[in-house]
Amino acid sequence: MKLFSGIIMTLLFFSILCVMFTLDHSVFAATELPSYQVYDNAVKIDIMSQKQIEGVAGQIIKIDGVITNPTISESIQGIAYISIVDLDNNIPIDLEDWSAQKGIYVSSIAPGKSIPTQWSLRLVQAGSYQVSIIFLKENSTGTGNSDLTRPIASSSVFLKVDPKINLNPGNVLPVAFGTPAALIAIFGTIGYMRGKRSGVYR
Amino acid sequence: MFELFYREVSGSFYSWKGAVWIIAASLIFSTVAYLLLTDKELSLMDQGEMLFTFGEIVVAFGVIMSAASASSTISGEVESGTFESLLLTPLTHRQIAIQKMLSVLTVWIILFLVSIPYLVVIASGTNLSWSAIFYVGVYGTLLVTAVSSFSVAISAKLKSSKSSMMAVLMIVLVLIAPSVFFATSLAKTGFGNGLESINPFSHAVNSLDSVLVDNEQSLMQQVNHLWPVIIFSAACIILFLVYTRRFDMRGEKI
Repeated sequence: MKLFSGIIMTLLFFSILCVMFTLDHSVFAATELPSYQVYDNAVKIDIMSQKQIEGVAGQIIKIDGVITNPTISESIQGIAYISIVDLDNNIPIDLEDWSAQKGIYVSSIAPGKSIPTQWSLRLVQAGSYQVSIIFLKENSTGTGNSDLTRPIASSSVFLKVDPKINLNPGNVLPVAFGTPAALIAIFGTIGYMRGKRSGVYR
Repeated sequence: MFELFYREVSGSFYSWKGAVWIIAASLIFSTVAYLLLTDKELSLMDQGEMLFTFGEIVVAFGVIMSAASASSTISGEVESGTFESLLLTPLTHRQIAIQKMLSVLTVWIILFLVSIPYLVVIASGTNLSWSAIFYVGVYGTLLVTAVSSFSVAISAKLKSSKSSMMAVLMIVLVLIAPSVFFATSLAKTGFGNGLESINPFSHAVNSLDSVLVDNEQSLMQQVNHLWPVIIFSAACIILFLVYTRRFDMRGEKI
Protein backbone atom coordinates (compact mmCIF):
# COMPACT_ATOMS: atom_id res chain seq x y z
CA MET A 1 0.00 0.00 0.00
CA LYS A 2 2.90 2.30 0.90
CA LEU A 3 4.58 1.46 -2.40
CA PHE A 4 1.38 2.19 -4.33
CA SER A 5 0.90 5.58 -2.65
CA GLY A 6 4.61 6.34 -3.27
CA ILE A 7 4.19 5.72 -7.01
CA ILE A 8 1.06 7.90 -7.11
CA MET A 9 2.90 10.72 -5.28
CA THR A 10 5.85 10.49 -7.72
CA LEU A 11 3.53 10.61 -10.74
CA LEU A 12 1.68 13.57 -9.23
CA PHE A 13 4.98 15.39 -8.63
CA PHE A 14 6.11 14.90 -12.25
CA SER A 15 2.67 15.94 -13.56
CA ILE A 16 2.93 19.21 -11.62
CA LEU A 17 6.46 19.74 -12.99
CA CYS A 18 5.23 19.16 -16.55
CA VAL A 19 2.35 21.61 -16.14
CA MET A 20 4.71 24.23 -14.64
CA PHE A 21 7.15 23.80 -17.54
CA THR A 22 4.37 24.22 -20.14
CA LEU A 23 2.88 27.24 -18.36
CA ASP A 24 6.31 28.87 -18.18
CA HIS A 25 6.64 28.68 -21.98
CA SER A 26 3.18 30.03 -22.69
CA VAL A 27 3.76 32.93 -20.33
CA PHE A 28 7.14 33.56 -21.98
CA ALA A 29 5.53 33.57 -25.45
CA ALA A 30 2.76 35.87 -24.35
CA THR A 31 5.19 38.48 -23.03
CA GLU A 32 7.29 38.38 -26.22
CA LEU A 33 4.39 38.93 -28.63
CA PRO A 34 4.16 42.74 -28.48
CA SER A 35 7.86 43.21 -29.25
CA TYR A 36 7.52 41.08 -32.45
CA GLN A 37 4.67 43.30 -33.59
CA VAL A 38 6.90 46.34 -33.14
CA TYR A 39 9.51 44.80 -35.49
CA ASP A 40 6.85 43.81 -38.02
CA ASN A 41 5.60 47.37 -38.22
CA ALA A 42 9.10 48.64 -39.04
CA VAL A 43 9.06 47.33 -42.62
CA LYS A 44 6.27 46.77 -45.10
CA ILE A 45 6.60 44.49 -48.13
CA ASP A 46 4.02 44.63 -50.91
CA ILE A 47 3.86 42.22 -53.83
CA MET A 48 3.02 44.13 -57.00
CA SER A 49 2.69 41.05 -59.23
CA GLN A 50 -0.52 39.06 -59.58
CA LYS A 51 -1.44 36.96 -56.56
CA GLN A 52 -2.04 33.90 -58.74
CA ILE A 53 0.37 33.13 -61.56
CA GLU A 54 0.11 30.23 -63.99
CA GLY A 55 3.01 29.23 -66.17
CA VAL A 56 4.65 26.42 -68.06
CA ALA A 57 7.94 24.75 -67.04
CA GLY A 58 10.86 26.53 -68.67
CA GLN A 59 9.08 29.89 -68.75
CA ILE A 60 10.68 32.90 -67.01
CA ILE A 61 8.40 35.07 -64.86
CA LYS A 62 9.03 38.24 -62.86
CA ILE A 63 8.01 38.81 -59.25
CA ASP A 64 7.79 42.50 -58.38
CA GLY A 65 7.76 43.80 -54.84
CA VAL A 66 8.07 47.09 -52.98
CA ILE A 67 9.82 47.37 -49.63
CA THR A 68 8.66 50.35 -47.61
CA ASN A 69 10.10 51.93 -44.50
CA PRO A 70 7.01 53.27 -42.71
CA THR A 71 8.90 54.89 -39.82
CA ILE A 72 9.28 58.63 -39.59
CA SER A 73 12.80 58.88 -38.25
CA GLU A 74 14.82 55.68 -38.70
CA SER A 75 16.52 54.47 -41.91
CA ILE A 76 16.49 50.73 -42.38
CA GLN A 77 18.87 48.29 -44.06
CA GLY A 78 18.92 44.55 -44.54
CA ILE A 79 18.71 41.60 -46.89
CA ALA A 80 15.74 40.96 -49.16
CA TYR A 81 15.40 37.49 -50.61
CA ILE A 82 12.83 35.29 -52.21
CA SER A 83 11.43 32.09 -50.74
CA ILE A 84 9.60 29.36 -52.65
CA VAL A 85 7.72 26.52 -50.98
CA ASP A 86 6.60 23.44 -52.88
CA LEU A 87 2.97 23.00 -51.76
CA ASP A 88 2.63 19.52 -53.26
CA ASN A 89 5.53 18.08 -51.26
CA ASN A 90 5.43 20.59 -48.36
CA ILE A 91 9.11 21.46 -48.66
CA PRO A 92 11.03 24.66 -49.37
CA ILE A 93 12.85 24.41 -52.68
CA ASP A 94 16.50 25.02 -53.50
CA LEU A 95 16.66 28.20 -55.57
CA GLU A 96 19.80 27.13 -57.44
CA ASP A 97 18.15 26.58 -60.81
CA TRP A 98 15.14 28.83 -60.24
CA SER A 99 16.82 32.17 -59.85
CA ALA A 100 20.32 33.43 -60.64
CA GLN A 101 19.79 36.30 -58.19
CA LYS A 102 18.71 34.90 -54.83
CA GLY A 103 18.98 37.91 -52.56
CA ILE A 104 19.86 41.59 -52.57
CA TYR A 105 21.43 43.73 -49.87
CA VAL A 106 19.44 46.90 -49.29
CA SER A 107 21.95 49.36 -47.88
CA SER A 108 19.42 51.97 -46.79
CA ILE A 109 15.76 52.92 -47.10
CA ALA A 110 15.06 56.45 -45.85
CA PRO A 111 12.10 57.02 -43.48
CA GLY A 112 8.81 57.00 -45.37
CA LYS A 113 10.47 55.86 -48.61
CA SER A 114 10.17 52.66 -50.66
CA ILE A 115 12.36 50.72 -53.02
CA PRO A 116 11.13 48.47 -55.83
CA THR A 117 12.56 44.97 -56.15
CA GLN A 118 12.28 42.44 -58.95
CA TRP A 119 13.18 38.76 -59.17
CA SER A 120 13.34 36.70 -62.33
CA LEU A 121 12.22 33.14 -61.75
CA ARG A 122 12.68 30.30 -64.20
CA LEU A 123 9.90 27.79 -63.69
CA VAL A 124 11.96 24.63 -63.41
CA GLN A 125 9.50 21.95 -62.38
CA ALA A 126 5.76 21.46 -62.65
CA GLY A 127 3.78 21.78 -59.42
CA SER A 128 2.13 24.25 -57.03
CA TYR A 129 4.28 26.75 -55.20
CA GLN A 130 3.97 29.63 -52.78
CA VAL A 131 6.39 32.51 -53.35
CA SER A 132 7.13 35.24 -50.79
CA ILE A 133 9.64 38.02 -50.43
CA ILE A 134 11.44 38.02 -47.09
CA PHE A 135 13.25 40.98 -45.57
CA LEU A 136 15.81 40.46 -42.83
CA LYS A 137 16.25 43.84 -41.16
CA GLU A 138 19.70 44.67 -39.89
CA ASN A 139 20.05 46.82 -36.78
CA SER A 140 23.23 48.81 -36.49
CA THR A 141 24.43 48.85 -32.89
CA GLY A 142 26.84 51.73 -33.50
CA THR A 143 29.83 49.63 -32.46
CA GLY A 144 30.57 48.16 -35.84
CA ASN A 145 28.66 45.01 -34.98
CA SER A 146 25.20 44.31 -36.21
CA ASP A 147 22.55 41.78 -35.37
CA LEU A 148 19.81 40.54 -37.59
CA THR A 149 16.26 40.83 -36.35
CA ARG A 150 13.27 38.65 -37.05
CA PRO A 151 12.53 38.23 -40.78
CA ILE A 152 9.47 39.94 -42.22
CA ALA A 153 7.53 38.22 -45.01
CA SER A 154 5.31 39.67 -47.72
CA SER A 155 1.98 38.22 -48.65
CA SER A 156 2.29 35.19 -50.93
CA VAL A 157 2.02 34.64 -54.64
CA PHE A 158 0.54 31.30 -55.59
CA LEU A 159 2.28 29.77 -58.54
CA LYS A 160 0.95 26.94 -60.65
CA VAL A 161 3.49 25.46 -63.05
CA ASP A 162 2.26 23.15 -65.78
CA PRO A 163 4.64 20.59 -67.28
CA LYS A 164 6.12 21.27 -70.69
CA ILE A 165 6.60 18.13 -72.70
CA ASN A 166 9.17 18.70 -75.44
CA LEU A 167 8.20 15.66 -77.46
CA ASN A 168 9.83 15.83 -80.86
CA PRO A 169 10.31 19.60 -81.28
CA GLY A 170 11.69 20.40 -84.70
CA ASN A 171 11.23 16.78 -85.65
CA VAL A 172 14.29 14.94 -84.37
CA LEU A 173 13.76 11.80 -86.45
CA PRO A 174 15.21 13.11 -89.78
CA VAL A 175 18.36 14.30 -87.96
CA ALA A 176 18.68 11.24 -85.71
CA PHE A 177 18.44 8.81 -88.62
CA GLY A 178 19.62 11.09 -91.44
CA THR A 179 23.02 12.14 -90.03
CA PRO A 180 24.51 8.64 -89.52
CA ALA A 181 23.00 7.55 -92.85
CA ALA A 182 24.53 10.56 -94.63
CA LEU A 183 27.93 9.91 -93.01
CA ILE A 184 27.86 6.23 -94.01
CA ALA A 185 26.96 7.29 -97.57
CA ILE A 186 29.77 9.92 -97.70
CA PHE A 187 32.48 7.66 -96.31
CA GLY A 188 31.20 4.74 -98.40
CA THR A 189 31.43 6.86 -101.58
CA ILE A 190 34.93 8.10 -100.66
CA GLY A 191 36.06 4.52 -100.00
CA TYR A 192 34.47 3.24 -103.21
CA MET A 193 36.02 6.00 -105.37
CA ARG A 194 39.41 5.43 -103.77
CA GLY A 195 39.06 1.67 -104.32
CA LYS A 196 38.07 2.22 -107.95
CA ARG A 197 41.10 4.46 -108.54
CA SER A 198 43.44 1.95 -106.98
CA GLY A 199 41.86 -0.98 -108.87
CA VAL A 200 40.12 -2.72 -105.96
CA TYR A 201 36.70 -2.26 -107.69
CA ARG A 202 36.46 -2.63 -111.48
CA MET B 1 55.21 21.02 -95.92
CA PHE B 2 51.89 19.50 -94.73
CA GLU B 3 52.41 16.08 -96.39
CA LEU B 4 52.31 14.26 -93.07
CA PHE B 5 49.15 16.10 -92.00
CA TYR B 6 47.36 15.19 -95.26
CA ARG B 7 48.51 11.58 -94.90
CA GLU B 8 47.25 11.40 -91.31
CA VAL B 9 43.88 12.98 -92.15
CA SER B 10 43.34 10.79 -95.23
CA GLY B 11 44.26 7.79 -93.08
CA SER B 12 41.50 8.85 -90.70
CA PHE B 13 38.79 9.21 -93.32
CA TYR B 14 39.70 7.13 -96.38
CA SER B 15 39.65 3.90 -94.43
CA TRP B 16 36.58 2.44 -92.70
CA LYS B 17 38.74 1.96 -89.62
CA GLY B 18 39.19 5.72 -89.33
CA ALA B 19 35.67 6.75 -90.41
CA VAL B 20 33.94 4.36 -88.02
CA TRP B 21 34.84 6.74 -85.14
CA ILE B 22 32.76 9.52 -86.62
CA ILE B 23 29.87 7.22 -87.55
CA ALA B 24 29.86 5.73 -84.04
CA ALA B 25 29.88 9.26 -82.58
CA SER B 26 26.92 10.28 -84.77
CA LEU B 27 25.02 7.15 -83.67
CA ILE B 28 25.65 8.07 -80.01
CA PHE B 29 24.49 11.65 -80.70
CA SER B 30 21.39 10.30 -82.48
CA THR B 31 20.52 8.02 -79.55
CA VAL B 32 20.94 10.81 -76.99
CA ALA B 33 18.97 13.37 -79.06
CA TYR B 34 16.23 10.84 -79.82
CA LEU B 35 15.90 9.89 -76.13
CA LEU B 36 15.88 13.53 -75.00
CA LEU B 37 13.15 14.49 -77.44
CA THR B 38 10.95 11.40 -77.47
CA ASP B 39 11.18 9.81 -74.01
CA LYS B 40 8.27 11.13 -71.94
CA GLU B 41 10.25 11.48 -68.70
CA LEU B 42 13.29 13.10 -70.34
CA SER B 43 11.02 15.38 -72.38
CA LEU B 44 9.97 17.08 -69.14
CA MET B 45 13.47 18.57 -68.91
CA ASP B 46 13.80 22.20 -69.90
CA GLN B 47 15.21 22.63 -73.42
CA GLY B 48 18.18 24.56 -71.98
CA GLU B 49 19.02 21.59 -69.77
CA MET B 50 18.67 19.21 -72.71
CA LEU B 51 21.07 21.36 -74.73
CA PHE B 52 23.49 21.54 -71.80
CA THR B 53 23.44 17.75 -71.41
CA PHE B 54 24.02 17.28 -75.12
CA GLY B 55 26.77 19.94 -75.26
CA GLU B 56 28.52 18.28 -72.30
CA ILE B 57 28.42 14.92 -74.13
CA VAL B 58 29.86 16.45 -77.33
CA VAL B 59 32.76 18.13 -75.49
CA ALA B 60 33.48 15.08 -73.29
CA PHE B 61 33.35 12.76 -76.30
CA GLY B 62 35.71 15.05 -78.25
CA VAL B 63 38.18 15.19 -75.36
CA ILE B 64 38.19 11.40 -74.82
CA MET B 65 38.44 10.72 -78.55
CA SER B 66 41.34 13.13 -79.04
CA ALA B 67 43.14 11.78 -75.95
CA ALA B 68 42.87 8.20 -77.17
CA SER B 69 43.88 9.13 -80.70
CA ALA B 70 46.78 11.49 -79.81
CA SER B 71 48.29 9.25 -77.13
CA SER B 72 49.57 6.81 -79.73
CA THR B 73 50.67 9.24 -82.44
CA ILE B 74 54.43 9.09 -81.78
CA SER B 75 54.59 5.87 -79.75
CA GLY B 76 52.58 4.04 -82.42
CA GLU B 77 55.13 4.98 -85.06
CA VAL B 78 57.99 3.91 -82.75
CA GLU B 79 56.33 0.55 -81.99
CA SER B 80 55.57 -0.22 -85.64
CA GLY B 81 59.14 0.66 -86.65
CA THR B 82 58.13 3.48 -89.02
CA PHE B 83 59.41 6.33 -86.88
CA GLU B 84 62.99 6.19 -88.20
CA SER B 85 61.75 6.62 -91.79
CA LEU B 86 59.61 9.54 -90.63
CA LEU B 87 62.69 11.15 -89.14
CA LEU B 88 64.46 10.86 -92.48
CA THR B 89 61.99 13.28 -94.07
CA PRO B 90 63.03 16.97 -94.21
CA LEU B 91 60.55 17.76 -91.42
CA THR B 92 61.88 18.83 -88.05
CA HIS B 93 60.84 16.85 -84.96
CA ARG B 94 58.53 19.65 -83.87
CA GLN B 95 56.90 19.86 -87.33
CA ILE B 96 56.17 16.13 -87.18
CA ALA B 97 54.53 16.53 -83.79
CA ILE B 98 52.56 19.64 -84.84
CA GLN B 99 51.19 17.91 -87.93
CA LYS B 100 50.22 14.85 -85.89
CA MET B 101 48.46 17.14 -83.40
CA LEU B 102 46.66 19.06 -86.18
CA SER B 103 45.32 15.80 -87.61
CA VAL B 104 43.78 14.97 -84.20
CA LEU B 105 42.29 18.46 -84.11
CA THR B 106 40.79 17.91 -87.58
CA VAL B 107 38.95 14.83 -86.32
CA TRP B 108 37.47 17.00 -83.52
CA ILE B 109 36.38 19.63 -86.07
CA ILE B 110 34.59 16.94 -88.11
CA LEU B 111 32.97 15.62 -84.91
CA PHE B 112 31.84 19.15 -83.99
CA LEU B 113 30.39 19.70 -87.49
CA VAL B 114 28.47 16.42 -87.12
CA SER B 115 27.04 17.60 -83.77
CA ILE B 116 25.68 20.90 -85.18
CA PRO B 117 22.41 19.49 -86.68
CA TYR B 118 21.66 17.84 -83.32
CA LEU B 119 22.32 21.07 -81.39
CA VAL B 120 20.03 22.97 -83.78
CA VAL B 121 17.18 20.45 -83.51
CA ILE B 122 17.38 20.29 -79.68
CA ALA B 123 17.45 24.11 -79.45
CA SER B 124 14.51 24.41 -81.85
CA GLY B 125 12.05 27.06 -80.64
CA THR B 126 14.54 28.78 -78.32
CA ASN B 127 17.11 31.54 -78.83
CA LEU B 128 19.95 29.22 -77.79
CA SER B 129 21.00 27.63 -81.12
CA TRP B 130 23.85 30.02 -82.00
CA SER B 131 25.12 30.21 -78.44
CA ALA B 132 25.09 26.42 -78.11
CA ILE B 133 27.06 26.01 -81.36
CA PHE B 134 29.49 28.82 -80.48
CA TYR B 135 30.28 27.81 -76.90
CA VAL B 136 30.44 24.05 -77.59
CA GLY B 137 32.79 24.88 -80.47
CA VAL B 138 35.00 27.22 -78.43
CA TYR B 139 35.30 25.04 -75.31
CA GLY B 140 35.60 21.83 -77.33
CA THR B 141 38.37 23.27 -79.53
CA LEU B 142 40.32 24.71 -76.57
CA LEU B 143 40.09 21.50 -74.51
CA VAL B 144 40.80 19.20 -77.45
CA THR B 145 43.85 21.35 -78.37
CA ALA B 146 45.08 21.13 -74.77
CA VAL B 147 44.45 17.40 -74.38
CA SER B 148 45.91 16.45 -77.76
CA SER B 149 48.98 18.65 -77.07
CA PHE B 150 49.88 16.95 -73.81
CA SER B 151 48.91 13.53 -75.21
CA VAL B 152 51.37 13.89 -78.09
CA ALA B 153 54.03 15.12 -75.62
CA ILE B 154 53.42 12.11 -73.33
CA SER B 155 53.40 9.76 -76.32
CA ALA B 156 56.80 11.15 -77.42
CA LYS B 157 58.20 10.90 -73.91
CA LEU B 158 56.98 7.38 -73.00
CA LYS B 159 57.34 5.82 -76.48
CA SER B 160 54.88 3.10 -75.52
CA SER B 161 51.26 3.32 -76.71
CA LYS B 162 49.98 1.25 -73.80
CA SER B 163 51.69 3.39 -71.15
CA SER B 164 50.93 6.72 -72.80
CA MET B 165 47.27 5.83 -73.37
CA MET B 166 46.88 4.77 -69.73
CA ALA B 167 48.59 7.94 -68.49
CA VAL B 168 46.55 10.21 -70.77
CA LEU B 169 43.22 8.54 -69.99
CA MET B 170 43.97 8.82 -66.27
CA ILE B 171 44.62 12.56 -66.62
CA VAL B 172 41.45 12.97 -68.71
CA LEU B 173 39.43 11.03 -66.13
CA VAL B 174 40.78 13.27 -63.34
CA LEU B 175 39.71 16.30 -65.37
CA ILE B 176 36.27 15.05 -66.38
CA ALA B 177 35.09 13.01 -63.36
CA PRO B 178 34.54 15.86 -60.85
CA SER B 179 32.17 17.75 -63.18
CA VAL B 180 30.37 14.76 -64.60
CA PHE B 181 29.96 12.57 -61.51
CA PHE B 182 30.23 14.82 -58.43
CA ALA B 183 29.19 18.29 -59.65
CA THR B 184 26.38 18.83 -57.10
CA SER B 185 28.28 17.41 -54.11
CA LEU B 186 31.47 19.31 -54.94
CA ALA B 187 29.67 22.67 -55.06
CA LYS B 188 28.72 22.24 -51.38
CA THR B 189 32.25 22.03 -49.95
CA GLY B 190 35.19 24.43 -49.88
CA PHE B 191 37.53 21.72 -51.14
CA GLY B 192 35.14 20.91 -53.99
CA ASN B 193 34.83 24.56 -54.96
CA GLY B 194 38.62 24.89 -54.89
CA LEU B 195 38.94 21.85 -57.13
CA GLU B 196 36.31 23.22 -59.51
CA SER B 197 38.07 26.60 -59.71
CA ILE B 198 41.33 25.04 -60.97
CA ASN B 199 39.79 22.41 -63.24
CA PRO B 200 39.49 23.70 -66.83
CA PHE B 201 36.91 21.06 -67.76
CA SER B 202 34.72 22.17 -64.81
CA HIS B 203 34.99 25.76 -66.04
CA ALA B 204 33.86 24.68 -69.51
CA VAL B 205 30.92 22.69 -68.09
CA ASN B 206 29.90 25.48 -65.69
CA SER B 207 30.07 28.00 -68.52
CA LEU B 208 27.85 25.83 -70.75
CA ASP B 209 25.44 25.54 -67.80
CA SER B 210 25.45 29.30 -67.35
CA VAL B 211 24.87 29.96 -71.08
CA LEU B 212 22.31 27.28 -71.84
CA VAL B 213 20.45 26.84 -68.54
CA ASP B 214 20.72 30.33 -66.98
CA ASN B 215 20.53 32.10 -70.36
CA GLU B 216 23.68 34.20 -69.70
CA GLN B 217 24.76 34.19 -73.32
CA SER B 218 27.08 37.20 -73.66
CA LEU B 219 30.83 36.64 -73.88
CA MET B 220 31.46 39.13 -71.09
CA GLN B 221 29.42 37.00 -68.68
CA GLN B 222 31.60 33.99 -69.51
CA VAL B 223 35.04 35.63 -69.26
CA ASN B 224 35.59 34.20 -65.76
CA HIS B 225 35.14 30.68 -67.14
CA LEU B 226 36.88 31.30 -70.44
CA TRP B 227 40.28 32.53 -69.30
CA PRO B 228 41.20 29.49 -67.12
CA VAL B 229 40.50 27.23 -70.13
CA ILE B 230 42.61 29.47 -72.41
CA ILE B 231 45.49 29.47 -69.86
CA PHE B 232 45.28 25.67 -69.54
CA SER B 233 45.41 25.28 -73.32
CA ALA B 234 48.36 27.69 -73.56
CA ALA B 235 50.23 25.78 -70.81
CA CYS B 236 49.62 22.47 -72.61
CA ILE B 237 50.85 23.92 -75.91
CA ILE B 238 54.04 25.18 -74.19
CA LEU B 239 54.54 21.69 -72.68
CA PHE B 240 53.98 20.20 -76.13
CA LEU B 241 56.51 22.54 -77.77
CA VAL B 242 59.13 21.81 -75.11
CA TYR B 243 58.77 18.02 -75.20
CA THR B 244 58.60 17.71 -78.99
CA ARG B 245 61.60 19.94 -79.72
CA ARG B 246 63.74 16.84 -80.08
CA PHE B 247 62.63 13.22 -79.84
CA ASP B 248 64.71 11.01 -77.61
CA MET B 249 65.24 7.55 -79.20
CA ARG B 250 66.59 4.61 -77.15
CA GLY B 251 68.29 6.88 -74.69
CA GLU B 252 70.16 8.81 -77.38
CA LYS B 253 69.27 12.18 -78.80
CA ILE B 254 68.51 12.10 -82.51
